[in-house]
Amino acid sequence: MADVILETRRLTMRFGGVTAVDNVDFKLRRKELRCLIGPNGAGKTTFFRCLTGILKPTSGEVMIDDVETTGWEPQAVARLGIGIKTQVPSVMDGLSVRENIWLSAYRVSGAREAARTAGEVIERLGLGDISRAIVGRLAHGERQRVELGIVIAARPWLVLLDEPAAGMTGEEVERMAGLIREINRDAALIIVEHDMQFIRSIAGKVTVFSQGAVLMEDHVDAVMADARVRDVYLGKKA
Amino acid sequence: MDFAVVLTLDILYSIAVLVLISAGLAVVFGMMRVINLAHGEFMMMGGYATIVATKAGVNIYVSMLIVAPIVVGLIGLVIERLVIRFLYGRLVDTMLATWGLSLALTGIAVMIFGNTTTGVSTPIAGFTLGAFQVNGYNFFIIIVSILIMIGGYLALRYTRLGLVARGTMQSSDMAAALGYSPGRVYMATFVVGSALAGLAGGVLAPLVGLVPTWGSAYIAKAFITVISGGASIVTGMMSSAVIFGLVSQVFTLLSGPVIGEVALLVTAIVLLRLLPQGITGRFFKGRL
Amino acid sequence: MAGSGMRDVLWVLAAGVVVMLVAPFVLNYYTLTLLLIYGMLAMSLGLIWGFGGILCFGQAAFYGLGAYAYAISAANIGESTIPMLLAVALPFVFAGLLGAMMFYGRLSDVYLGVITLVVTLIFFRFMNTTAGPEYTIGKARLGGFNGIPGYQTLNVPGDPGAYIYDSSLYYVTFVILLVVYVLVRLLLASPFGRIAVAIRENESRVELMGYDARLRKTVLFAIGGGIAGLAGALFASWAEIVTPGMFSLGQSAEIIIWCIVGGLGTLVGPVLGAAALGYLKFALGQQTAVDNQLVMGAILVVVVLVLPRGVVPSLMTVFARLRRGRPARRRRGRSGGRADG
Repeated sequence: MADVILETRRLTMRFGGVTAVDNVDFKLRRKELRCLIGPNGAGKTTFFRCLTGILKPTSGEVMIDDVETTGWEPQAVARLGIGIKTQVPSVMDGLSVRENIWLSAYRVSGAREAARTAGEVIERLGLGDISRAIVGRLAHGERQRVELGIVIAARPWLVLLDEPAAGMTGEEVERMAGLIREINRDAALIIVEHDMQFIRSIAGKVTVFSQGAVLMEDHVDAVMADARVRDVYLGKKA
Repeated sequence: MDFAVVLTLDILYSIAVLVLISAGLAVVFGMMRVINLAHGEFMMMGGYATIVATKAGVNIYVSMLIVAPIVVGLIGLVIERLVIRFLYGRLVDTMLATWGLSLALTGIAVMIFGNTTTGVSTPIAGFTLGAFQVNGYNFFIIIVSILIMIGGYLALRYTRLGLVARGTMQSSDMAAALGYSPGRVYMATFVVGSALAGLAGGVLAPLVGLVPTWGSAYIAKAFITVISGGASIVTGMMSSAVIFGLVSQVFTLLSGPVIGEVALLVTAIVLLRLLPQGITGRFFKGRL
Repeated sequence: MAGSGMRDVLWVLAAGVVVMLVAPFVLNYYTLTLLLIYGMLAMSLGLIWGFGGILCFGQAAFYGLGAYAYAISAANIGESTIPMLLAVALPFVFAGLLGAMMFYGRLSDVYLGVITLVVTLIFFRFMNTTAGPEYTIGKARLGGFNGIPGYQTLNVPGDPGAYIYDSSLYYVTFVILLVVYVLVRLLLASPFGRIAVAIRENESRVELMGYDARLRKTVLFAIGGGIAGLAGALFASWAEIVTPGMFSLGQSAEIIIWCIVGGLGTLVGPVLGAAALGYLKFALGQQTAVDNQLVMGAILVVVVLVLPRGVVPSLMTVFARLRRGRPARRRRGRSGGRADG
């Protein structure tokens, strides 16, 4: 496997007159954990959507594992072995937790293994008590966990998470951080997040977005200390 | 030369009829996302209202342009209060309930009027244009449809009522916060849509032998025209009516009325496949 | 299939066999067979709509196609086995093509409904005009408005003289219906079926899992078309004539009404809805006091307002509540069934 597993070159996304993502060059290494941060409207989620195939970029390229995937449909991107969690929890509300996770496991493991994989994932995420519950009835934090379960049940080697800690209690956030560190043992991750404490606890490199472009890219401590980043968040001119 | 004029008139007429039959449905769909599948039956009732009134001695123009819309508008009011009101936001359920209504209304009409045809004759005679016979009534229909479109556009754009209605359509919560009752607006809109359907039925009645099932011939076309037009009421309906009217007339000329119909339907499929949000989902976006 | 699902299927089969044996004491074979055909037709829509989330306004198109395919090929071949196969295959393929066109274009909801409605209209209009002698396929004249009569009806495979009609047609149809039911239940319990239900729940999430939802919807839609075609072929043998009315909007409307009234959460619901309403139409047709359309329409309106999930699911909820003594799970609106339900 090459060392750079995901790369974008001059990635640009325009909506009418608005340039949401502006000529972004981005590289991710094997088993790296990267956080994308930036104020609202900075382009993080749009960039994320270009990676996952939900949006087709206006120009530029996305390369995953040396294969150009620009403009691929989300299901083709997912088939490469990439787990995707969107900003708003996207799960099957009318089905049980177990069924949700089984469906994800089935694609990768086949019928016989899928049930076992689902069971393991449920255990690992502490969903055992609610495995038969209908997902639509669960609390937000639990639904986020179910979605995480869907993601890891497919044994991805690259995981893209958009705001996994959103709307969660402090305890749930801690648990999520632990899970992410575990996932990082086998897979690379790109995480879009706002919660600074959460980002600190999973450490790693951080890419700061501002007005569609990359402002800086460095270790989380350096980024936190940087005056420009502060200004960008507080709305002063960068 | 004469042929060109007659052809143009035929095409205009074809478009005008589509506008006429679709206007009521467009108002209701465009404003409230309600698909009233009893629309054809509303037209049928307008037709019967016209015929009954005319036969009772009322001037035919009054029957068509005043009696029919009022009668059907009132019926629409009753139906809105009893049925539609509970189903807002449930698109599929309103389609099903109004489908049930369409059956029920047809059944009632059969019980009242029987299965035989009734009719009145058109008030405007035909005339000749060169080698062709032109139906004078077609002019009337073209004029009525133009007036409907202009009137509708003006009402929506320049009257307070139109503004409130458009606002409620965009965001009913905001409209409510500003003091307007969305329930009232929806009710009024549905009544207007019903009245327009009644008007269409009234105006078209003199052209046909009216039977209780007459409406069913129109619902499909009206439905297709409105959906293909997209969200904008006036612009959407006009653009799809123009396209379909043109296509159906041209093909009718080339191969007869059935092929004209089939051509219209095929065009609808192609249009929807290419523009899944309707014409005004892509072009003329944001226009009325 | 999960244990409880297996049990349910067996219960339904047992009940089905009982009904099959008892019903002829209540109604004549002729009427019963028609109700069974309606039931199968309703099941085809119940599958794609209740479980797949695909609201097709033109299911009658596949019904009519199956019937016409049977009639035309039976008229030419003189034996019923191949025509029966064609009657399933042709609608299956056509539905597959139509489905591909729609689903790969990401059409959904209303727009899907319109296109399917338009397709059935096209068939209806076109078939009505095929009256002339030039509209002939082999030995079969399409006959326009009057349809096609006088073809070979269902016979014992291999023996054109051994007709299957009246009571034997009834039993054969019932068995076919039960077999189709079991096959569809197996399909729904299979991974394909479970994914199809998931697609109904949240198509984009299923795609993010790496499944091709468009292809799966197309296949499901094709299967629904094939079952409708089978119903059409059986109708052709039952009625001994096929007419363009089979493609009509009214027919499509009836199928939808059967499903709504019967309930979309199950396969059995639509079948029962079709049987009940089919019988009601027949009974109403015998009297002239109240117009039968009025009754049908009123029923539909009342059901939508009062029992939005349909009669069978509502009954099941009541039944479950009584049995367990506490409120059973409730699902709001017109959501469909789980793969094991």
